[in-house]
Amino acid sequence: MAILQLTIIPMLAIGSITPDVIIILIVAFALVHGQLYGTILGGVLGFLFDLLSGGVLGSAMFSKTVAGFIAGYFYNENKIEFNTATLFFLLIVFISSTINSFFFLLLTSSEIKLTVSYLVLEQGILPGFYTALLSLPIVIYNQRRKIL
Amino acid sequence: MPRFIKIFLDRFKEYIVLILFLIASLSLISLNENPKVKNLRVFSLGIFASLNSFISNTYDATSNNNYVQQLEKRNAELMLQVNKLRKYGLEHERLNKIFEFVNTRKSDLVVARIVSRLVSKISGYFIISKGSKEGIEKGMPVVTDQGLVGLVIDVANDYSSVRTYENSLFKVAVKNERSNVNGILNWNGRKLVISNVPTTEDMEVGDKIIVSELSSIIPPAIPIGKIVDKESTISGILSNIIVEPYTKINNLKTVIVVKTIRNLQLDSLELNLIRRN
Repeated sequence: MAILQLTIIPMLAIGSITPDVIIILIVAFALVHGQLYGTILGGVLGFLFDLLSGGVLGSAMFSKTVAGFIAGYFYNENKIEFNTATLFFLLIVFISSTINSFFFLLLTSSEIKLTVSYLVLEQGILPGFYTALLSLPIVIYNQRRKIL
Repeated sequence: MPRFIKIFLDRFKEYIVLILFLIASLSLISLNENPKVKNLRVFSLGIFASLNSFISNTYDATSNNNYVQQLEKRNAELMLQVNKLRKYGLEHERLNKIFEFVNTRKSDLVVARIVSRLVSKISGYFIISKGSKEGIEKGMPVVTDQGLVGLVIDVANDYSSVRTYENSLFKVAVKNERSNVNGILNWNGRKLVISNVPTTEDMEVGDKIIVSELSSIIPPAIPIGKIVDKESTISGILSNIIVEPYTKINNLKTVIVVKTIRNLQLDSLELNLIRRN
């Protein structure tokens, strides 16, 4: 997944706004298995992503751990189908992805001054929205599976 | 007591795991310059980049890469040659009777494919398909036929990690090719900026910005971009010069590493920031 994120996904980038497929996986996992597993998967995949990307080691690990933890808040064993097969899934992906982008940029921008509005709006919400949009096929797939 | 601990762990296990992961990640961030952590990065670069390369190769299988790479290398050679000649031309005009500065640096070009990229407005990195086996070393500049892209920061046997200009850690000494005004170019998260240039300095919109002779890392005269705007600071004494890069890094597939063979005497005297790290 991390390799996919670094090789194929950049081709889908609009300017510097790239969807994050790792976050989609973390959110889906957290909603099915719970907050603990979402946090662990976030940390492990974040660490692998740091190793693969050549970037600041620990930055993606931090942001994806937090994102996995936040996604896990929405875990409810009685509502797994609702959470993963409705547009509510998109909302959770959007929230987690926005938080992920915000923390990732915050940790890697030590040398420059950035405004909170820039971090939240341009580098948080827009990638979050794009990632949520990319997770739409998962919702459609889960809905069809539910019908069958 | 053990029962209390068990209840505590059971109740707060999510928070404990979160805190442990956050502490681990913050420790890693603070240890990024540690030699052991650097070795781990180089080791993982070697292993994982081959996987990335395989996927990237499969994706690009349809295009005639060798031919394109040869053309791009030729373009880059011509770009460097043109810039050197332009520089000599300008120097010749200014210093008509004085001997020109003898350029003691030679350069050799290595074409590399971008294996993976971290697209970010603040921490842009590439992993490229050439490493120490091809003679690539840390600190070598990475260019295209249009201009500078970034710097090599880590090198494994077959792969290297490149810090692009879209990175908050990217800084380079530059000058205005026309007026010779020097400055430090850096990335502010949105644009390339030469900060705090006195407003009295001759910097006009449209002027070409190139790497300065003052740069101890990148060879001089590599083009970077052109001035597109001047923003005055609050005091009005200083201004920030906005530079639009010639190379658009988002769509790049291949880059060229300039293997600078440096003059040893000059190298020993210069303040080489990369080597100090």
